[in-house]
Amino acid sequence: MVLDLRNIKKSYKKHGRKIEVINGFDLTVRRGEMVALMGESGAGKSTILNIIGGLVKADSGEMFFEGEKIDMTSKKALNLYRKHHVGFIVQDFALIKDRTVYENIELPLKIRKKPFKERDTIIKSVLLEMGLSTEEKSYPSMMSGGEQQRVAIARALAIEPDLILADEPTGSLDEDNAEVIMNLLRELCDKDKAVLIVTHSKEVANKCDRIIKLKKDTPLKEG
Amino acid sequence: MTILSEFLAYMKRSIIITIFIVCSIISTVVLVIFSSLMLHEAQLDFDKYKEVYDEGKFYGLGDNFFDEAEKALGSKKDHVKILAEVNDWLRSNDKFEYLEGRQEYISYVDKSGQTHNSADSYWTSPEDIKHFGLGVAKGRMLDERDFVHTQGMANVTGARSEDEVSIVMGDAFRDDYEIGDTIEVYHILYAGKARIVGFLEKGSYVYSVLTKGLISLDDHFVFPFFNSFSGNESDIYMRVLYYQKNNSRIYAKYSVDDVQDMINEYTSSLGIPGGYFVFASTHQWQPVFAKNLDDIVGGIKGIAVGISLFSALSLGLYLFVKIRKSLKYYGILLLNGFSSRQIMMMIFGEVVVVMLSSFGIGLLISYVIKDNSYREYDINMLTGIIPMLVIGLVGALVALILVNKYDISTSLREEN
Repeated sequence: MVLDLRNIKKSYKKHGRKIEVINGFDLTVRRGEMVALMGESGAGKSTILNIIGGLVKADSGEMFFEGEKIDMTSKKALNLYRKHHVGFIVQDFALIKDRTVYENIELPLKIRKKPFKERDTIIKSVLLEMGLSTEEKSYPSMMSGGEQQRVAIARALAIEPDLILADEPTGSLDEDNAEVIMNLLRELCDKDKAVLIVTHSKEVANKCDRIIKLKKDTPLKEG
Repeated sequence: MTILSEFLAYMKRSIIITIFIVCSIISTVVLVIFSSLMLHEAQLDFDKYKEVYDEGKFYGLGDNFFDEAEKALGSKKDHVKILAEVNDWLRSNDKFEYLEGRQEYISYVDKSGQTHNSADSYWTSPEDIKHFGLGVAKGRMLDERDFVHTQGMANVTGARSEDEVSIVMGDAFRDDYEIGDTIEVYHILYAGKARIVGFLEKGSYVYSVLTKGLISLDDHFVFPFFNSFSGNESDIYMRVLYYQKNNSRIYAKYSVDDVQDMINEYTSSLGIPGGYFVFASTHQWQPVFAKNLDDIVGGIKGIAVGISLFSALSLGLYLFVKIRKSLKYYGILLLNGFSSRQIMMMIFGEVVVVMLSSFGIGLLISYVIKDNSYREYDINMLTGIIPMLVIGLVGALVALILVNKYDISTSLREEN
């Protein structure tokens, strides 16, 4: 079990009113598994993804990674967990526009203080894996949506995460490119990574091993 | 190193606006430093005026010897003696203070033998020294013995004195001369050697009826306005001397008309009615000056506060725009392994860099202006730090509120 969430709750305050977004959510994800998270807008899909990614603190509940409990009250613990185990892919790619493909992939490696030679080897390897070897000096604006998403996947892969969180990874892509991206994500699962995808698309969800549907204001258990 | 390189990349974003903000804060620092200096000086001037004026007023005294008065004086057998008596009475009467003192141009030869014309000198009297509290920072002040003219040959008679006169120099000459140095001077009342006996305290001042205000003696040679004579002087010398000595300042608590009446009464008793007139009634402009000074001081304060607020608002607005614009960028950094603390450090780091560079450059500019200014400013770094702290705190507060208000994690879903 790579990820285990137990009774996660999260609420926000809006105009002085408390709004419960997640009211008791359980989830387990195994290595090599691709799980789809679906649901109507406002059901809390992205909030769950952000909690799993350590970007947002849950109000209550427990999270275990590889059997080890993550202290969800500690920003430091969440930062460390995110830094070492989680890779992100988002709908609009989250690439820095004024940096080259190479520099975008290099960013998380620099943050992790990898030496130059190691960085260079990793970057060239993931670019080759994504079929982008000739694009290392290109800027994101010069590339198609599919290519940009492949750069984003390459960047996520560069840090060798155990868990990949993908928020609408094909939302900005045409069918052909979406197919390519889903195949790449499947290949990652084959390499023993766990992939959790938030999506509205049934086609995308159907390619996953499991689908979890979220509904507003309902306590959610893994289905 | 990664944080530093990412911080530098972050600083480069919106660099034009950053430069504008830095310039705005530089202007604030410079203006606030000089505003506060001006404010300080204005306050000092104001204090000086209050001290000098107390409840009295300054008047000028001028001779009026033409037509009837001239005939009357000319008909007297010993008119020089009469002028001296007038001087004695002016200096010794108990109704007002007669402050003998005049600004005069002199020529002098410096230590290297170079001649300077039209140098500022001030001829003072014991009453004058006492009233304005003139003192020395080094050496000694002129005293009674210096006011005795032992050998009063002067260039009015075409002769040069073989004696020496004691003088005190303004603060500006301290680096160029020593106590005991002698200077060759030429003036209508004295031509000969002047020996330096002291240096005035910096910021020494007296009142001038010509400028109707206080004048600094920092760049003046201060001479004794001779009061007594051990030798025999020519009539023409004594007449010139007393014409000058009796054309000076009165400090009184009476009105200009009352003082005029007192002088008329006395001069009539000497048989020279209408010989002197009183002028420059400071009572008319003194309150106006005080009010103007108050307005100026208020204006300077207002400008300094206004500029500081403008810069604080500019920085606040700049951070507001930049943080909003950079939310997605922060989100990308978070996804790639930055912690929220590191992002906060980056945002506040920018505030610190902007403030420190602005303050440093502002201070440098202030020193350059100071070095090229004819006035002597004593720049205090603390003066510039105060607005910088205010501006920085406002900026940092805006940044803190914004960062807490926006959820960076959701920013990745927003369009760039």
